[in-house]
Amino acid sequence: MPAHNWSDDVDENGIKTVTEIKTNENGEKVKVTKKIQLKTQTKQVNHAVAERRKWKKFGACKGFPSGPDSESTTIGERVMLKLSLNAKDLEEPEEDPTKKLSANAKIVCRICKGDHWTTKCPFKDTYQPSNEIAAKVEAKDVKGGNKYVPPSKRGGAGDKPAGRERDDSNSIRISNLSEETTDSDVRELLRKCGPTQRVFVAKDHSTGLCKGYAFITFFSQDAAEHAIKSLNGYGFDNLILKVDWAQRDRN
Amino acid sequence: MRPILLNGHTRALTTVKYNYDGDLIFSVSKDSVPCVWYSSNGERLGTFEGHNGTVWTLDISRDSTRLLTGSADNSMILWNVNGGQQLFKWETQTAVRAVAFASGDKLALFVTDATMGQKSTIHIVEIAKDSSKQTSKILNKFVIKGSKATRALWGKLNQTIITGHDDGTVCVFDAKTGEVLKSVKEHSGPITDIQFGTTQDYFITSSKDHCAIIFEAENLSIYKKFETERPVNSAAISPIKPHLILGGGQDAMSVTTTSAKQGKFEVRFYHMVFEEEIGRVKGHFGPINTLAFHPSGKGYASGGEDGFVRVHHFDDSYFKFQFPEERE
Repeated sequence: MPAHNWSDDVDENGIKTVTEIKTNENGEKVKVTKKIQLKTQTKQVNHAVAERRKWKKFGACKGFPSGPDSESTTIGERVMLKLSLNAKDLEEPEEDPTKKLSANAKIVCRICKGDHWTTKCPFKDTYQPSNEIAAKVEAKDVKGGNKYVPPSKRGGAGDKPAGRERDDSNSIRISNLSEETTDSDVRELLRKCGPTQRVFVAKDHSTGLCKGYAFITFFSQDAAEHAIKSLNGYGFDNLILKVDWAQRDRN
Repeated sequence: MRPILLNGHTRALTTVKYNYDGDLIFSVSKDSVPCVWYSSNGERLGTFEGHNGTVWTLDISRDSTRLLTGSADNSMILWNVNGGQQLFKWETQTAVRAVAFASGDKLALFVTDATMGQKSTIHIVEIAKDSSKQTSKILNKFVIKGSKATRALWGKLNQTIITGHDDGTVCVFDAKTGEVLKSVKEHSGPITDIQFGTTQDYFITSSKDHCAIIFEAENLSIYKKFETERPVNSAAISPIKPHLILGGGQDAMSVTTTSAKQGKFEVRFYHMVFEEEIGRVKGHFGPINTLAFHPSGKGYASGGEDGFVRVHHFDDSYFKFQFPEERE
């Protein structure tokens, strides 16, 4: 290891990156990279406090080096304390997710296409959901050979990994947002346009500041269209917003 | 703001307290090992090993050299804060529910629980300056008639003792004679916490009956009452702003059956004068058991049933906030 590690340097945002190589309990060598935000604060304290700062650790912490131990001390996620006169209004109304679903989308059984949940289908024990059968058959076909098959050509080709499927047809993209923009600012901005499914404000990983753009999915296309019309070119925080559909290839 | 999470306890927190200077945080929990932390960066300074059961309560001497802890293992221990040595141990008949140093740190009180046929009792002991000369002599003993005491504090100039009881009663005892000077029953549930305001002239009580009340310390007249929709386990008054914080949530036993959102495990900020809620801070996975304001008012610490202590340092926006009526 060189005496001076360039990665230990502090960058312009005051972020220090510390890299160390350790051996874990399984005997494997692991590289641990820690990003630390440095902030120097000078504080005047009284004599007794300064003395206590020099005390040696005792009990379960005996012999530990000075500085917080990562086992017992961690930094939590950023929490917001927004003081306001009517804090009760800030509270988001609690909604039953199943109720919401039934109001917006019709429930369709995957087995018999009836208007009930698949788990409650009377033919549950005798039939299998149609698309599941198809997927299984395809999977069997591919399994035969030993040749490498790229994921895009395997069974269920074209399927995105589970959990990443998202209908982006009602999504819009807002860009040219200021650094200080938060989720709640964007929500506030879109309150008049209609109910939103998802609000995602891109944030810098280390500083937590907005990267300048956000994606919003509405429940209805009309609301999305309305938002684009009313907010494109709208001045927000001294910047002029650019609002468009999230999908570029959209007609 | 980004809270510092202190993860030194393996079980639910029972009490968290700052020392007088605010540079240390003391925490006790149901896991029998009290801890002390630096409040500025959350570094653990040490642990105090010697108890053998839930530690219910603690108090720190004004100069932060001594620590008193009361435990369900039927003992109260006096510790040396620097080094964590046990200086003296008082053996009691039942669990110790409340401990408090008197102003001047020459006396201390502890309250024992009403179990095993024993009555809840306030004991007053002398704290020797030289701890090698410490004795277990009890100076005074006041047996509490009626419901057991859950919290106790010394009143102004050590003339009185203020107690909160399991049935919601708040009492003021004469510290010399043990006579009940005043007793009011404004809460309908057990008192969970009592903390003084900026002076010893008023204090706030929190109770399982979903309320917190600010009382005048001598006549126990009500200054303000704050109502919420869940049990309040702890309440603290800001030393610099007319704010107070309330923490609680539904009972620990029903936590697993309700979502974190329904449980209302946030710390709630109230305006002391207007009796209105002004904000809330999320974070704990379980009910908040204990709250403490930093003596400078620049932050607060909360301890929850989830075993975490969260130490918060306020952002600048907190200090700028004012009601329209407060602006000049």
